[in-house]
Amino acid sequence: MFGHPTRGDERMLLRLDPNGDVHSARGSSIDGGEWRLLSGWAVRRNAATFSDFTTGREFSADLGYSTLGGRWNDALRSGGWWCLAIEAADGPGTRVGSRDPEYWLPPLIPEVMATPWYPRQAIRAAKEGNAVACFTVDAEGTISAAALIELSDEIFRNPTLSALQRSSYVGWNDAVPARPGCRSFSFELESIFR
Amino acid sequence: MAHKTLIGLTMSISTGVALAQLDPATLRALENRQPDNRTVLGGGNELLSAGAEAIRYGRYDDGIRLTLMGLERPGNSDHIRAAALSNLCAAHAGKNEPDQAISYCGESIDINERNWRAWSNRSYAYWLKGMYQEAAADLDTATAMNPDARQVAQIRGMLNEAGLRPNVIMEDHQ
Repeated sequence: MFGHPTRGDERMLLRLDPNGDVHSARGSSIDGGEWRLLSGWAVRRNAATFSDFTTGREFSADLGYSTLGGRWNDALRSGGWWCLAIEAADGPGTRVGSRDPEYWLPPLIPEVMATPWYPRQAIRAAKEGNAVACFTVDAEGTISAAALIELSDEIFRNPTLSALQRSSYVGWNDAVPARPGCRSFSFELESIFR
Repeated sequence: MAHKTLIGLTMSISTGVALAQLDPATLRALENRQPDNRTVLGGGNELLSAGAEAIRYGRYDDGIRLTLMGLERPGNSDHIRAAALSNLCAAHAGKNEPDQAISYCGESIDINERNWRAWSNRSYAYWLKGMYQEAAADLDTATAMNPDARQVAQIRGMLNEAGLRPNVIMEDHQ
């Protein structure tokens, strides 16, 4: 989850039940580690939607992606979210597979954070922009399945994806095979002589 | 050849037929002609036209020589003088002689400040000298007169490369 300037770490687990309920669970140090009922989920056209009445957020997932992810918005802000499916079936009101939700979402610690090149044509055109990429990180810290969920201009696509290919995270125990991650890029130009 | 595309020439300074590219023999004939030869096409303008053509094809030395000769002929209007001076500016810029270029463009602008090419050419000359603030100021003037000019866009790109520092800020989201 990303986009809120003050909420910081918003790692959470989501469970979409066949009966239409959506539950979320966060680490015991944050939220008790128990499943919490959000709203029902619905599918309209190519998007799935649900809401969190506690935070006032409405979530929409673009079903065109290879995994579940998309945008959230509340009365004041908007952001994004990205998921990876895990196998830890459990019922509501109990811990997730007998483990704290934090177990399933080891923190992402960058090992190599490659900087994208700034396209020469963009500099010549004084073009600034931004991109948000979400991806899967495996237990060895390798990034794969990157998707650009925000891109202000096509000229920044290749630099962003190339930078991710050259990046990596610190690995963790392979009991958790993979987890999702997102990174935002802001391409900015600073005037030197004006 | 890359420089040639950045300088703007005022071609239509002849009131008669604009001359095509001249062969060396014809060039020599024009240069050797007596000032009072009455078989010429019209005043000194054919020299200025020939000079502009030579500059256009990258023959800067020929173009400079013909244009200077054409400027010596009596009867050039202010408009034609300003255009010819702008062409001299372009030629010297093309030869990577920015000081001479800036001087000629300045003279041209003093006569006719509405010639966007003179401002654009001087902007390029300033860029050659690394005087980016002066180049930007002249380019802004040229842009205001002709925002769609290809040379203006190209010089703008060059100035941006020299004057903008790129930075990419990254943030991970958990």
